[in-house]
Amino acid sequence: MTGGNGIVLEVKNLKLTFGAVQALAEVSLEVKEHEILAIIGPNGAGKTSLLNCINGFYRPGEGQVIFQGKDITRSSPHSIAQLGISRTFQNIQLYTGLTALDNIMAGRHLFFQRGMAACALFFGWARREEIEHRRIVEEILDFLEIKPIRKMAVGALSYGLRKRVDLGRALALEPKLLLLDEPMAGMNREEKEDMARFILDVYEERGTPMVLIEHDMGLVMDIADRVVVLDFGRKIAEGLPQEIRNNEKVIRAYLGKG
Amino acid sequence: MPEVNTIPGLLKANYERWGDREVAIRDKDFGLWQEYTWKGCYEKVKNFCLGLVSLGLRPEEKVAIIGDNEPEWFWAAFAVQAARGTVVAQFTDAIPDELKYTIDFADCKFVVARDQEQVDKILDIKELLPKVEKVIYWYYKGMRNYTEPFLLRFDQIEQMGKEYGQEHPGIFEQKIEEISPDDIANLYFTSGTTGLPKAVMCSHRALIGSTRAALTITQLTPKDNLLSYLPPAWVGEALFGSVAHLLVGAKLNIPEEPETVLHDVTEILPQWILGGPRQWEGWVSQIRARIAEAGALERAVYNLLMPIALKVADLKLKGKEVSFPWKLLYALADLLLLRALRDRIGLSKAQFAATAGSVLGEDTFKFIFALGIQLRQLYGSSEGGIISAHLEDDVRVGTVGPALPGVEVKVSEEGEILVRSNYAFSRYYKNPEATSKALRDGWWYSGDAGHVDEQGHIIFMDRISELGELRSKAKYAPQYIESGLRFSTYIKDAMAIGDRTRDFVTAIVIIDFENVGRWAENNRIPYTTFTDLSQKKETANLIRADVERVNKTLPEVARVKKYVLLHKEFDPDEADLTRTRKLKREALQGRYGELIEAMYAGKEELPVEAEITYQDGRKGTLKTSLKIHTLQ
Repeated sequence: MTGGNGIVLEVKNLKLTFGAVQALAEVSLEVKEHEILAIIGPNGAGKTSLLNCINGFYRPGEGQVIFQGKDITRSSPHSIAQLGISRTFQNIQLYTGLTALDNIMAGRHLFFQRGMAACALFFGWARREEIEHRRIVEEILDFLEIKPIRKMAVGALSYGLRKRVDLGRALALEPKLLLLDEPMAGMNREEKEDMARFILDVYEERGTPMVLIEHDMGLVMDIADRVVVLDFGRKIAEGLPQEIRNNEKVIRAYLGKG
Repeated sequence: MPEVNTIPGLLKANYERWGDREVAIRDKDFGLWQEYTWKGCYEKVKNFCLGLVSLGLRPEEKVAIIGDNEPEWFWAAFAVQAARGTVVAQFTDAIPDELKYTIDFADCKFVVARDQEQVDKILDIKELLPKVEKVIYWYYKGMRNYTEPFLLRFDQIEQMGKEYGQEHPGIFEQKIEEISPDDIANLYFTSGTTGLPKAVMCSHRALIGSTRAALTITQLTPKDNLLSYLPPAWVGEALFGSVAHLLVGAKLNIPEEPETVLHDVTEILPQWILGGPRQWEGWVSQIRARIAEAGALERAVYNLLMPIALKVADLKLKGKEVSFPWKLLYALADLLLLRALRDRIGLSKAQFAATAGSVLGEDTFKFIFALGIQLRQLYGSSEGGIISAHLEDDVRVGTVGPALPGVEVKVSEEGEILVRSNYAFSRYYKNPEATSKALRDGWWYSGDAGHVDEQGHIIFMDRISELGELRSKAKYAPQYIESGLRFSTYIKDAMAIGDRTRDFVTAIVIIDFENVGRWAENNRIPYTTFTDLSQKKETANLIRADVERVNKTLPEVARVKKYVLLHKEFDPDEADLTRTRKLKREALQGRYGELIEAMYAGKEELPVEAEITYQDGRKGTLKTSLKIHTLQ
């Protein structure tokens, strides 16, 4: 189900403007079937805007987003989710009043087949369906080692745990492509290492390709297969982590013009 | 029926008696209680045992097991014992260095590890463990891309065992017949408060004998529930958990995660429960913290009725008559408050609730007793098994109860407790010198200071080596001070200091970050980190009240004169604590030597730069200034 040559997602000449501000200028990139692609760049480089274009939050002015050979540039976020692109958010977007379990369960709503009435009565098929979804959610809780907080309201959880619940919610969609927007931002060293391990576990166990936005270069070097660098809405470099580390343009973008 | 005295023999007897009709083990997983019948467990053990045999496990060989309490843990252990091998249980939070020492010292042939985390630790040190032939794991997440040829899955071993069993019918039953009660079932490493740990060899007879002795002072039926939450690397788990489960046929219930024990226990309502002082203190401070957060009505009921319960408990514990009005009031308190509290912490059926390990503070003891739970002090060790325990309705503060049937206790001239029993350990592994020192003329020299009173109750003071003496030759009991301090909701840990070169006692206190943090929030005291909170003036005043409370119960010479609130917690990863969370005094005195000197030198504060070890093994440093508090 790829575009042929092992490419899951193709972004072609994407342009996005907000008034006079050019957020993205002719950005092109590809995500292969088996890789973790990291997107890095200074603040305001357009990283999150790019993700927003991919999953349909923003409509780009020009260009194309092709997922598994299908043009999704003009599709709505929920139909893109249905196609199998799932994401986590930089500023966690969870129902703070609901439990960790319910939040992840909510991530499965796309798969619920029964109508509202049947679900409300919790009868027959609806019941069987709910149990099946619960089993899958329990497996995710186990996978992310958050079983002890299953019944705790998300609002009462620490930041690191909330990030994990957010990842769990994204996994509940059984994504074919996972977009991770700074999953490790604001974490301490130990939480970051934990999160990196979970991301690698997801990748190894499920083989889900990922697009990862991250600032911590050390971590990017450790877990990404390839790196794309954005600066002022333009792609300034692309390559293996090692190449990127030594790239003149990248160093200049990060450290200012020398 | 003849008395069965081997662990696999008991399993087989239960299987023949109950087969598929009764549940043996219940394990909470995926939020549900998963049940395994006696037949199911027996088959698992059989297959795993034969799998190990087909890989070459011979009698007297050792297998290390490392992982949290889960059914696979016990199946693996029973399987090793069925092959006449010895189980070497490891603590799950052991660092690779510790594992290297214990696994290598015990000559383990196989390692059974739970998951990726534990397997990674073993892989790190695999080159240093030439005697380990296979590493087997039972939780497969994240293990897909591990290609080491010596790594095997739990179900692979079971499959191998199944095939081996088909080729050799009846071999498993024959193996169980061959086991002698004197075979060594488990090897326990002493927690090593002094020097390198010693490996205590416990036979089937010793483990089963201790549990049988416990059954003479309490009841347990096949209908009852047991809770498996103590680390299996501690002998207490076997005596109060898996062995009791096999001996009686009571169900063994395993909580979902170590973090969920306090919740899961409310669904189990165990009949027996053994906890270390820290577990009981944890329960008490949990109740207090919840009451502090409860609504006004609940708080009023608690504040009205709890003093009544405490008063009655005090009278009972002192052996005094409780007058009728008080009895009536207590019944009222029980109806309106205590029953609910017991239920809330899951101990409403706890017939045999015991505390062991180190001395439990009197206040904690009284509090639990006031709840209507007969908390019995129990005295035991890997070497001696269960030596003594309080009998029902004969619970007294300050003693550890009379010796159990089959156990003789006397006190040597030096004040050391000596024990002779049928179920003491066999010897120390590869350490004849220590064995001949500890076992003389059939008596085990416990190394504990204490005496026996007129009613035959043993009074345990402390390790002989641990009683402190000041320059004035005055003795003081560091553990008493520490557990008194730990009783406070706001104190997590404490260490009392003082020796022959010192004139007075000082203490290092660790605040309970969660509870002090909550208190600070309620009182609008801003803070950032643990370090910051610990050095706040308000925190100092809060803790001062607790130190004064403990001091009031001590003679003038033994009181704490100075103390500091440490900027971090004691941590097993930094060798501050043993794995059962006992203080490692020598290591601590070394690590905080400068701080201790500063207290005795009369300084008011001390800049510190502490090396801290992160959980991943990396090191960093932390700079701060610690205030030294003085009491008048």
